[in-house]
Amino acid sequence: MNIVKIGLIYLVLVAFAYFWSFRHNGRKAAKAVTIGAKSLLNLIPLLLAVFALVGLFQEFLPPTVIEQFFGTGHRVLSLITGGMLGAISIGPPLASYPIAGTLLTAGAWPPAVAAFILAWISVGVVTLPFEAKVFGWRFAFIRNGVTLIAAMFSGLLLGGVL
Amino acid sequence: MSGVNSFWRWLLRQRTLWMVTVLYLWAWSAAPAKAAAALSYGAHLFASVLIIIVAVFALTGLIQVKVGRDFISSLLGHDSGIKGLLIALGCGIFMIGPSYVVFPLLMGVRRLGARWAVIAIVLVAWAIKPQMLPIEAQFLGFPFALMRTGLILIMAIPLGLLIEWLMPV
Repeated sequence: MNIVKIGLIYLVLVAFAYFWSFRHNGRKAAKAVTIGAKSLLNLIPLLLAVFALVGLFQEFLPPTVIEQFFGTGHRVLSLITGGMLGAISIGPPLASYPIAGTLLTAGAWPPAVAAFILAWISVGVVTLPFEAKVFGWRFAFIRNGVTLIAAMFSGLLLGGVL
Repeated sequence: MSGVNSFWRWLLRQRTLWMVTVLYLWAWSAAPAKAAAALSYGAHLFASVLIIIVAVFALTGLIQVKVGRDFISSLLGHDSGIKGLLIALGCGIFMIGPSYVVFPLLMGVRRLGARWAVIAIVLVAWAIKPQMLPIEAQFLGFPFALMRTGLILIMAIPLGLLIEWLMPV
């Protein structure tokens, strides 16, 4: 299911919730619209910046360049590189699977590839400013740091089945 | 006039936006075609998630107005025990879309009394996507897909508690 369809499903469900809310208590529902709109407008510049940054990563750090960094010679370095590159990459998990498959066939070390996928899905360096703006820098750093370490540790365990 | 001034002050405060603008100016001077492609990619991606972002912010507003602080505290607060942590695990697994779109929603729930572990568990469990398993297995094999899912399922609650432990009370 693509992201636009998912968005439409979310939107229809929320629209139903608002419909019910307006019937139940119009004033509270109108207040909810104001709160939601204000929060969104407040974060729009940051969202625009993050998506523009995603575009830069996509163009100036393509998967072919990423592949060059996964050697099997220095395993610890490969594992760290896998985790770090997964962390700075952004996109749906679906996009990480074919890249990981390509990395494996290109001879990358399996635990590094596993760390790459886990970090891709769970760690977000590009979205870090947004996460920090919402939750505060401390939570954003701790969550991403702990998850990155967990991704590399799990990569070591999972690499064996690749 | 003061409205115009406050708008410019607000615009000047958008440091990340200015930083990315400088990066684009550098990219444009180095490789204009690539910079244009990057901007186009970012714009398309933003357009594709805009609907979901609008829906999530609308839901955030509704939750703030409709759901009481006491209710959230009892369901997801410190006194909710393992029940609250398991609810967070379920939410992370079954909610769909990019995780960053629910950050404001989660912070809204946090402000209403949810504990940090709940927020962290939802974000860790986001990596478990049962509906994606067949596709993941196609590229990386079923043993990998199942083991990855199982491992995150086991780690989500301990990691959430660890993150909470590292946060100030």
